[in-house]
Amino acid sequence: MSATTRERLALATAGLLALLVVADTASSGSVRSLRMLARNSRGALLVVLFLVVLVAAIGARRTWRIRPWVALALGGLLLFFLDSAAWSVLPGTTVKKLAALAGIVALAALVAGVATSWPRWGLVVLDALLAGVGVVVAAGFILWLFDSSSAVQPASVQSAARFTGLGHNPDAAAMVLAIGMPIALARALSPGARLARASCWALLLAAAAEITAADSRGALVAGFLSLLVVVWLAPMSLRRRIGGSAAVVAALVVCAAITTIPSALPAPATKPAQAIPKSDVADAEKVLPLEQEIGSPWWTHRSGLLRRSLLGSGARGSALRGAIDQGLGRPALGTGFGAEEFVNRYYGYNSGNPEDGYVGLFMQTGVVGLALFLVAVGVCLLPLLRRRVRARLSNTYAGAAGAAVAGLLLGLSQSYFHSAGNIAAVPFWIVLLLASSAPLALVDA
Amino acid sequence: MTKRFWSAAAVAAAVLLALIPVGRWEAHRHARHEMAGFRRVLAAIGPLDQSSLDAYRIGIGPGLDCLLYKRGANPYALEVCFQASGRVVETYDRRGSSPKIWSLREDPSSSSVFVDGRRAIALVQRLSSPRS
Repeated sequence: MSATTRERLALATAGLLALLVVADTASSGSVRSLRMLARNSRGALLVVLFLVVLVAAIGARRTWRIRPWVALALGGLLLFFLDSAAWSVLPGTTVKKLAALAGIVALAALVAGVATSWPRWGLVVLDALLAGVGVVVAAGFILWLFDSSSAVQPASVQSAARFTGLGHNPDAAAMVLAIGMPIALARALSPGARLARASCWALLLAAAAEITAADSRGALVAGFLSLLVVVWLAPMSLRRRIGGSAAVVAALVVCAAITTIPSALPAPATKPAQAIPKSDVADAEKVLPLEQEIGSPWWTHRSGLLRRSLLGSGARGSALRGAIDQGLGRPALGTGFGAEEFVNRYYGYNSGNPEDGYVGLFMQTGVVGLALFLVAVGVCLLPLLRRRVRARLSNTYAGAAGAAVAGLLLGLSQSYFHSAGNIAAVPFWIVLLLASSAPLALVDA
Repeated sequence: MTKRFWSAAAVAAAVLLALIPVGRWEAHRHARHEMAGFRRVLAAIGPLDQSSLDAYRIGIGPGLDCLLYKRGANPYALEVCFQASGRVVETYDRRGSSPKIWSLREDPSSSSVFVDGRRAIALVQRLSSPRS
């Protein structure tokens, strides 16, 4: 393949990937026209992106590679997911959802394979993700300026006002921003034009600011802790690493403290308890709804007011415990990939899934599936810790590794990496597979 | 590709096949456990149509209706939720300090415990009608 064709394919990939990041975020946002446009174009963008990357991989077929153990681990994982259709509570759903996830993993593998022999490709892909994140940040800010009601979740008795930006809830866009933060830092630390580096620093700060304004605790922790990965993997002196780590931790503490400043609305004055009419007692859903039973004031005899706090787990903690209990009903192999069937019974919890990717995987595929996923992730990332690899790691792969770690940490507060339609699924798998190809790229270098 | 790699792939394939009966056994075991709970609650309730029948639910989850029975001062002490066919999918025992729940909501067809569906639906309709 000629250098010109290769460059064109790289630019096309970059453009499509950046658009896909924006479309994914906007596809469930609060602005209807944007939402419809994004939903209608997402599928096409993904297909065209896949085809472009496939062409690039075919062009680079003589040098295209991924590590055999990565291929085996991911192949084994996907085959296990397919296997689970045999005992799944929803076999058709298992197969459909697996097909979608396999498409994304294949896309990520194709991207990573091209990057092993052409480092510029990896850089272009990361820059594309960063550009997408930049558009999400800017669009969220512009939306807030012109229509703040669409960009902010208003304050309630439970929580203060929270920035949603382009996403449908405060945690949605924040997921993508958290994955973008380590990439921005890695690019800011890379040699290059001063303006480009300054832009990356600005994007890093803007992403951190929007995550803070969203009061998205999971994204805050994921974004900042992943910066530590970049600091310790990127080529720099020990002194700079220690200083950088201290700065990251300090910034995390400051941002976390800022999230506690806005307040929730004051609780309404408690009305004296009134007798429930007999007709309402007969309709049990009016008094003790099944979806709100556990932790309900009917049981606790307390006010039922739940306030969101920095360190509190509240309803989310109950739901997580309940989800694990539900998973323990079929602990070895689960209910089948994609067939989670989480039953929400938790007072104050308003989600249809456990909001924890690891627990979600455990429910779907049991201990075996969760272990296989962790093995696959370990096979992808642990080789980066080897001394001879770390010693020669470029900022590109440090950024990819940091972003992959951000994605893994996000999995503690969001169910997403096994869900192909999720906002952050495509970026996560791409950075994970890109990071996994670092040892091969170094061998070639 | 090394010999070691292909050996590992062959072992993985064999393991995947062996997991199928394990997954199905686990599903059946879970269903048996939940159905044992259904039978305990139904035994505690006794006949569906009785004076302690106190409350109802309509259209819960995957198309379930529920009947609730009073025990002492607790109007919702025992509950059975079922499909229109009478297949029992969930039961609740609220006689303690926290609810005990047995459920096959994720896979209703795996329940082989039934109540008289027509009778149960009629009871729900009677309770939910404005005169009751």
